[in-house]
Amino acid sequence: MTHKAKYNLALLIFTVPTLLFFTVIVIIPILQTFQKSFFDWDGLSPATFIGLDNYTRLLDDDTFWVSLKNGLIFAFVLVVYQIGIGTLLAIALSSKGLKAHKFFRTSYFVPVVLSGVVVSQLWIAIYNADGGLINSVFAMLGFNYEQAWLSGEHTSIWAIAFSAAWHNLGIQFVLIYTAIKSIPEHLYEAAKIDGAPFWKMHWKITIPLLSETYKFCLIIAITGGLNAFQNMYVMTNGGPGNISFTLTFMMYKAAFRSGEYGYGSAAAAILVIECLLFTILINRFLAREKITY
Amino acid sequence: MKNKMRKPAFMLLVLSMIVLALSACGSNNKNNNASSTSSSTPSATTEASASASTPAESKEPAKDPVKLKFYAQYSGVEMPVYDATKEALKLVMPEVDVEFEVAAQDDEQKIKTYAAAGSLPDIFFASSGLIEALKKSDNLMVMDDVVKELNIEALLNESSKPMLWNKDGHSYAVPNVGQWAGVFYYNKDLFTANNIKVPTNYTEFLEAVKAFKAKGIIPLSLFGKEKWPGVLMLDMAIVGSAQPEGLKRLDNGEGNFSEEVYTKGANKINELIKAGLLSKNAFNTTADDAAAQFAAGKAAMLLNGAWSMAFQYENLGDKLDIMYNPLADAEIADQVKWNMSGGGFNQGFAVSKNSKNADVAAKYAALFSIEFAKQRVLQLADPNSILVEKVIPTNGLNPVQQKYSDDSANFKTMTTFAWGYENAKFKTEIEDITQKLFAGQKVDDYVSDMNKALETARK
Repeated sequence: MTHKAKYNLALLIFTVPTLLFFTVIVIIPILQTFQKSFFDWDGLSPATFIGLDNYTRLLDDDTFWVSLKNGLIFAFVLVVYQIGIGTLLAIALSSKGLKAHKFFRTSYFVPVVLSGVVVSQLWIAIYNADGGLINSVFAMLGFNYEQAWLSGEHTSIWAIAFSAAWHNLGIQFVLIYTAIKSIPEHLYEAAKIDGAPFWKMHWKITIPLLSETYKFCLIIAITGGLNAFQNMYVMTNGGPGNISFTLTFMMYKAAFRSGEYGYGSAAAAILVIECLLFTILINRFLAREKITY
Repeated sequence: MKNKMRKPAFMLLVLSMIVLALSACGSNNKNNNASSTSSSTPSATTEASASASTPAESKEPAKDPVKLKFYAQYSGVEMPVYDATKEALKLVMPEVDVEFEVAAQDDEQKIKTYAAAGSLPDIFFASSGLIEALKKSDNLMVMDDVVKELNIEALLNESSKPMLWNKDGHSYAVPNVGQWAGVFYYNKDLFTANNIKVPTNYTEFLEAVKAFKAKGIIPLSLFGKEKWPGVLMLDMAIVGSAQPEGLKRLDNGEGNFSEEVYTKGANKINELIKAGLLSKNAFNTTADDAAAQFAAGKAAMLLNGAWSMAFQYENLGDKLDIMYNPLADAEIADQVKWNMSGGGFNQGFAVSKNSKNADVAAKYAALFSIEFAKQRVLQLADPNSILVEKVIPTNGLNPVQQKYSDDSANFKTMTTFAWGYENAKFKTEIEDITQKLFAGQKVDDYVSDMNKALETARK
């Protein structure tokens, strides 16, 4: 056996099991979802082929547009809060002058290890319209701005998204912090010698060199936002009405509450396409060249 | 070599002894079953059902043991009811052993997944919606024969007999609990202390809401995190405008929301919401939160099913009372007084058509349902037994339960709770869209959304 043949065999042995597993767990269900989206199916009885009817119905369904919009809002909040605040915290903690690095690093990561249900319950208490923390603070400060945060048409999805962003900030923070730590020190030393101020140094060195990390962070933040389900399930159950629905919630409602698996599959198919589209766009326009030090 | 052989030979000997001992235990067990059968005295209900049409089990030869999987709400206060029923059934069908699986509170997803995978439990609790879904997919056993053989209908009182039969004329589940109405619980002391009249019609109800709101008391504690209480209240408003079928009529495929009676119902809710009916946090309030709010005297009224009477009485004692429908139009309040919202659906314990022991399971499920209904009265003081047999609760009825028990004889009609709707699409839409009405949606938009949803649900 030649060296190349041995190499190919090793490649096969190491990759095929994972690929098979991935195909069975991910690819086949996705293909089945697309297939079922062309059927009228209640999950139990034989399915009837109805072509694109489920998709045309989606376009005429107000809940679909609300869900689509909410998914984008959710993704936006995750991106801005987790990547924005995550970057600021990571830069602050990577600075040499700051004491108690370990304490802060651990503190920022603590919410991540909490269960989503626990975090949701915590935020339900904070957002409680009758004596919750936020409304109490407003009342204490004398502001007449008390709200039903989780029931308001214009506040609900933002409030839920913020709680989710807070919950998983630690993950993005760790990714960005690790990436900053891997930037060679001499680049900063050279900038200091040239007299660059602190923020300019990070603007010109740190941020550009984090582009590959940002690519990954953006993908998980955006797909995480579009896929959001757990937070609204626990905090509002999608309501009142459909105001805090996302496409995942819509899929759940159609398939599991209404027994319309075909329609739910159509919503899921749109969600898959949406996530793929964002992933392709991010890969296409961000960090196209590999950074080496 | 000798040593090598000794060990396997010893193992073989030990295994043979274990097998022999187990088989001896098995046969002994059968004998025990047989003897317990012959010496047993079935409880009144099971005895009645068994003797109604079948020969006494004790005269039959011992049958092969059967193990059945039973998917039910085997938890909380109902757990001892299930256990007592199981024990009572051992006297009638000693050959059967059941293993309970606790039903998930998941919009019946687990049981539907079992059906899709062809692994339905032998016996399971089935709501009207589930019955329709499983009937359509041919997963449900028709229990007509066993119902007739055991003469189940003769054991049910007049108001419960219709619950045994589906609209297609067949029986798919034997009812196990009576029809509960939806009721408004209220705190008598709060009404008296604030000099507010206990409402008997919608006009008075609206006045009471305004009065409580003005005094900083939450008029109604609604656990809006669940979607059915809102639907129940809307149903009451509609029933109170002389449509005794309420929303059930729409579920049955008749009418639409543009009809005056439905629009009027939506208008009542809208007006009450504007008057300050609910707390700001109503849509994030769970049943426990609402009960706590009511018990603490922060809310004057609470909307729930009549099954909650024992629990609410435990919290409020003699301060507690109930109203049936204070949302009735003033001019016809007396006329619609006994038209109830809630209850009214065919559900109970059903059997999988694909069960290996379908016949045994069907007989067991039918007898279990009847005994279960009896045990619920005995242990949980259900004031609305489905049985002909007069069963006296072990600890008696509290005054509120007694009132309900006395009044229930006057109930003329019942609609259904949201989970009793047969059209799953209609159920989902009315739950979601009605929540928006309670959140302040304009009536015109609500009617338009509901009509659109009805159109989709009826396709």
